[in-house]
Amino acid sequence: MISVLSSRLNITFERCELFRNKLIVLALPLLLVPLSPVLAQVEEVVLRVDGLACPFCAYGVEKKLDKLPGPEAFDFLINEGKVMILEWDPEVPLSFEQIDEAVDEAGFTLRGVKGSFIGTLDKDAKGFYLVMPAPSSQRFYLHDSIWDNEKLWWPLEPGDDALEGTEDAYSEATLAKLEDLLAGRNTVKVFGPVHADQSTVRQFALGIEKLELVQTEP
Amino acid sequence: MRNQKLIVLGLVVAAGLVGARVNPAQAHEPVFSVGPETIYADGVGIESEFEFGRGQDERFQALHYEIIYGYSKDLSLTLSIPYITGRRLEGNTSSGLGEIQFRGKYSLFKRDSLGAQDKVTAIFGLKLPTGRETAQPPLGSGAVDTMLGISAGHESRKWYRFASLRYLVRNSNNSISPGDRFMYDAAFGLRPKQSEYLEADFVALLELNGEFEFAARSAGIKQADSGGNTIWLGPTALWSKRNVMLKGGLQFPLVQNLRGNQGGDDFRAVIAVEYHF
Repeated sequence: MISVLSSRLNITFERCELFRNKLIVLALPLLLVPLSPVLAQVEEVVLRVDGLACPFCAYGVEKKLDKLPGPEAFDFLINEGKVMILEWDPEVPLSFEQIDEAVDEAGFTLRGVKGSFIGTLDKDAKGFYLVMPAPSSQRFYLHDSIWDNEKLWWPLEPGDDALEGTEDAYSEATLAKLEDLLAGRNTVKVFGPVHADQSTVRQFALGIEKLELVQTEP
Repeated sequence: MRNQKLIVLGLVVAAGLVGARVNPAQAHEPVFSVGPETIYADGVGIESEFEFGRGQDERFQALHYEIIYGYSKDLSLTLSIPYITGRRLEGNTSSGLGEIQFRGKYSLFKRDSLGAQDKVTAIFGLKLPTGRETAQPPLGSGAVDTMLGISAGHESRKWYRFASLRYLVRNSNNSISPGDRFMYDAAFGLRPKQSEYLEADFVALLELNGEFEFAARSAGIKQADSGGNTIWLGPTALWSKRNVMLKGGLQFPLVQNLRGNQGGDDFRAVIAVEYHF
């Protein structure tokens, strides 16, 4: 009985091996084709929220954020006062107003936003920008994340240096790296604190805590 | 005379129900008094509660069904429908619908910090005469009562503290006017383990609740066997996970300074479940 089963299993395994080999052969050409970037424009957003004393209270934040068009998955680090938006609809641009309103209606206070964003670089007289792919095409003014205080989170006041677009916005190392990435027309990922320009509301600034290459333009 | 005494006793007990259950608890709050929490804007919650108590003269048990709505982040409204499953007073027993209450909380002050929230909230309530006052013992006072108060609290990841003051204006549609009630409360709590979201969360509280009741009056004359001051003390517990909370508590009278010849209370207890949609 066992020998019969064993022989049948062996046959099954051999057939699986054959099938697997055929699958590899069929799939090989696909592996050789460069994958077009399936990029989430907004990769991850971290909200610093004050007032989160208990998990039961935090449920209101989940309910409110869930109603927004962008966020699709959440996690909470209550001990750190953080709400992690783990997935974001790639067709929906980041909206400070909506997030702030959602946290406020939940009964808490939004202290700041950090995020991980993917896009291409652009530059003008003011400085460098991270440009999100269409349809969002949201632009973040980039600057070095050099301040180590809560003010850096969001929002900055009009006239703050980070939004003035001077050479002081970047260290020499950051400037060189940005110039190099811009020249290569690369897709990059930037993580850092996000600010909104109070005067325009819709202009965002993004402090560079981490800057890495995602994909080189072919 | 005996009828008058029964009326007074019935009114006292009916008001006791109102006083004990003016507690639109949302989130982590005291069980036997009122905390400053409001539910999130457009939030809806339901609560089902069983309370029971015993005294020298009477025993009662009741079910309360509540629906809570967040009109805004600052204003929460609650509809409470009590069903008295049994009240026994001097050999008589009654049961039935109790006195429906509308209650509200409005946030006056809020200060958020990392892992903590300080809040002050105005409290108001209205009790409708839906309980049969002709039942023996009465299930209601037959009149509309109003309540106004204030609650303050500090909630943090580890420590909780609450305090509240409430004043209940009691009315009557018969010859005896029940005395108003002044309630003063304090509670202290501890979360032994700072649990994260989606983890079970437990908070233990110790609640101190005072109830000062003015004497009932008939034709302006104080009724001898009415009024007094009772201070309750006891532990309560809150267990929650995401949007469900179980809570319960037990209290004993620490001080009972009752006017005239009134039966005191032995204990009161509550167990409840709250769910936020």
